[in-house]
Amino acid sequence: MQTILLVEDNEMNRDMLARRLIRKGFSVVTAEDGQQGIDYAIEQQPALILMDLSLPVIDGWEATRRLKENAATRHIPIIVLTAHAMKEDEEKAYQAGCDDYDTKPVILERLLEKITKALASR
Amino acid sequence: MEHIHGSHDTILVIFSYIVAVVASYTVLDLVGRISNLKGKSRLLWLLFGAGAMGMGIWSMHFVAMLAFSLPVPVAYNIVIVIVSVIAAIVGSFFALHIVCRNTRLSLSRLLSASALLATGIVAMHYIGMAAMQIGISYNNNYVLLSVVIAFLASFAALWLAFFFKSGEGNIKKYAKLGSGLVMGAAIAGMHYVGMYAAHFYIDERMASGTGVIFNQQFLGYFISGGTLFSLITSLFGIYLSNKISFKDSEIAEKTKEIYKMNEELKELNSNLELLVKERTAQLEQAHDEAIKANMVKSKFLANMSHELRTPLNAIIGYSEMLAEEAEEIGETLFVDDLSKIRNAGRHLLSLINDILDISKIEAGKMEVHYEKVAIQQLVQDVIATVRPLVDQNNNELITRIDDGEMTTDVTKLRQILINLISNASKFTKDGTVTLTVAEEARKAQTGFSFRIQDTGIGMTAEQLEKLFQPFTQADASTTRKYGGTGLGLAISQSFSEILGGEISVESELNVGSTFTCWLPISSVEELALANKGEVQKHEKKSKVNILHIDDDPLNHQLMKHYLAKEDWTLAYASNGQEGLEMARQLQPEVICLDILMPSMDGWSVLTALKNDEELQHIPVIIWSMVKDEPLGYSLGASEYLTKPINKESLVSTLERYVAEKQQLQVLVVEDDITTSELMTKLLNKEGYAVTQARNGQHAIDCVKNEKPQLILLDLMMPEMDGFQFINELRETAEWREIPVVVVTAKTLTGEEHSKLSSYVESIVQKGMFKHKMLLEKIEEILIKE
Repeated sequence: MQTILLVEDNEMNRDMLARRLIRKGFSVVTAEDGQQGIDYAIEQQPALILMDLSLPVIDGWEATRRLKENAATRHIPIIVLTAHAMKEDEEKAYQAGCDDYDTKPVILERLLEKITKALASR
Repeated sequence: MEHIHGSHDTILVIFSYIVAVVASYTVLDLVGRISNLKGKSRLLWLLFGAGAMGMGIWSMHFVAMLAFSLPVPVAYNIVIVIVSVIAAIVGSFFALHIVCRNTRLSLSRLLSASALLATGIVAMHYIGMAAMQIGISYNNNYVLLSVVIAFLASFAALWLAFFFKSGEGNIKKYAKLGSGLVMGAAIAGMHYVGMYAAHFYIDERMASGTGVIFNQQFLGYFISGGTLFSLITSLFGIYLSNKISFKDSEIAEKTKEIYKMNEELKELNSNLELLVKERTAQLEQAHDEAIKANMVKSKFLANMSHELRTPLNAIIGYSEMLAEEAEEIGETLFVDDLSKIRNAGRHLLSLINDILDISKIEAGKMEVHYEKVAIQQLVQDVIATVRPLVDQNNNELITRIDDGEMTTDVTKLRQILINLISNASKFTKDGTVTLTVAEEARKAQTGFSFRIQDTGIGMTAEQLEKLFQPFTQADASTTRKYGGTGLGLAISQSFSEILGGEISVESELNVGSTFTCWLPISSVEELALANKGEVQKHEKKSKVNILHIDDDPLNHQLMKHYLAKEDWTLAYASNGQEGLEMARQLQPEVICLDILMPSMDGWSVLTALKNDEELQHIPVIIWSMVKDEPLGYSLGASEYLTKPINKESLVSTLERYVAEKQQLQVLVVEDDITTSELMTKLLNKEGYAVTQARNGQHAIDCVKNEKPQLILLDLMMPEMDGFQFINELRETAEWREIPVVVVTAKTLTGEEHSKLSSYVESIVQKGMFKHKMLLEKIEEILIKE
């Protein structure tokens, strides 16, 4: 069972997506802010990280940058998941080093495809 | 003493009266004209008028004298006769002179003018009488009465003349004629009263026989001549003055107008400078405000979209999950309702997306990403998406596709097609929807037309008219029956316009509608860019150097074959390790990298390249079977090409990197590390060598070390800000020509803006620019240099 780290500050969305991923057979660890996300990623070494962008403490862009700078977490694929639909946000996310990008609301099939792809390219 | 009694001939009395009237009328008419004149012409007309009036009065007098016959022949002293004429003329002159002043006629002036005229008339009469070589005695009372009549008549005539001089049209003519009759009557009246006052007797003058005895014939000619002269003068005067005074007054009016306009112009001129300054300030302020407002609007839109999506995410997510769960535990009743919630959520989401699109279009912020697309592939994608909608109303979808390739924004084209086909399906039941794609040239451009024809409800002409306006559907009931925001067509129309094409529509009620979207085969800007690349290639051909890292020698052969014509120097490495070493040695302008290689794969080579200070500035183009652009770009690749690729694409991609930019140094002066890093990455990707400085002082040091070809400058920085930096930079002659592009989040005041404009190449507002634009600007400046 592969572990996915879900970094999301909105409680409902965190709960909803975690439960849906669990239903699809993943093990899910959740973090509520960017700092927690970085800590858990180092600690738990998940197979993949789903990263929200507007996060308290450290935002998603910065967290992604730090995770990609850190040798201990660089290899973990990060899919940025955000309600920001602007093209600039997407560009900024890729510049921060994320592997893939998806917009909310989550369309589960689409997200699962991206997860599968990211896991396969490891 | 022998008294003689004379008698009057009635016809001649009437004739004398007519002469008086004509003379009066002439003068009355002249008064109006003379009043409007100035200088010499006024004097001439005054003399003319005085002559006419004097002669007129005199003629009247002598016609009257002709009417008066004495039983004895009477001789006239010719000198005194002439003096009498002159008296009449002089009196008339002064009277006219006073009356014709173009001001209000005061009573005292009228009185003095009347007195003068009366004096002239009376003097003329009695001098004329004195010219008769016969004894005359006067009844004093009647003489006095004749003087009073002359005065009153003059007064009335002059007052009338003044009164009517500014009148208009026919009324004026009749009034003038009336006053002419009055005045003529007065002159004649004066004469006959004067004659009544006179008693004639024979004295020694008659006996002495001096003087001229006019015979009746001579007198007739003479008087007729005087009268004729008076008449001709008056007619000629009226004719001429009509012509001249009209022109004169027109000219005077025009002159007045021009003078007035001149004055206005002068005033305007003096105000203009002030006005321009004021307006400039206002414009600058408005511009600043508009920029601010635009930023606020964009920010608001981004936030709104984000805030709406977050709860929507939960709604859609939970309803989907619950539907799945309900199905698993067999609660099928819930499944329907839960999917209704999900569908409502998705509908809401599409509305938000549409509104966001419309806002972006209206703000002119809609970005366009051109790429090559195979028509067949695209259409199949679209059909897969709309298939459920087509099936929903039991429609048949027929496709006729001309396959081919075009360069356009695929996402937008897909959105247009999905919108048009789903509309067609929505408004058609148990019918057919036909999609025809054909190559078609329009506006002297080749392109593709996408025709979507349905057999649905169609539209009336009125409905067609407002079809493409946002928030309108054919009518309100349509919205209730068929749903939708009415934004889809407005968006599709805008998209096709942005892409250089258009959408047209034909429709017949109850028969069906045909929408045709035509797009050019590639955008005009793309063509321009391609041409620009061409020029650069030829300019800088000699420096070219490409390092190709690929384990398969066949690929290298292929590359060599493809680039044979390009006159570029190629180097070849057969594995990752060798590639890295060669890169260090050769410092190529661009590296072309395969991914699937034994021992060290392309990802590792790319990572190593980008982590090496000496090599990280070299742009890397990935050319591989593996399709993973996100990973490639995130590791720092500049381009991602997937095998197989045609020759043109490979060459055109390489052209963008080869032979340019690599030697060019850009200094980024920016205190915010994130922004600075971002810019550096962007510039590195484009092949520029970048030095970063955190403040103005630091930047000065960097310039001292190595003079950059271009400086990107932030304004608000600690220690030494951008303004101070520019001042420092301009102090040194050899740094003065380094182009500076200001990139700032600061809202500049008009003063700051104009100050900067004189020194820097360009000012770019942070948040207002797209990276691509900034890079293009930089490229443009450097090419110019």
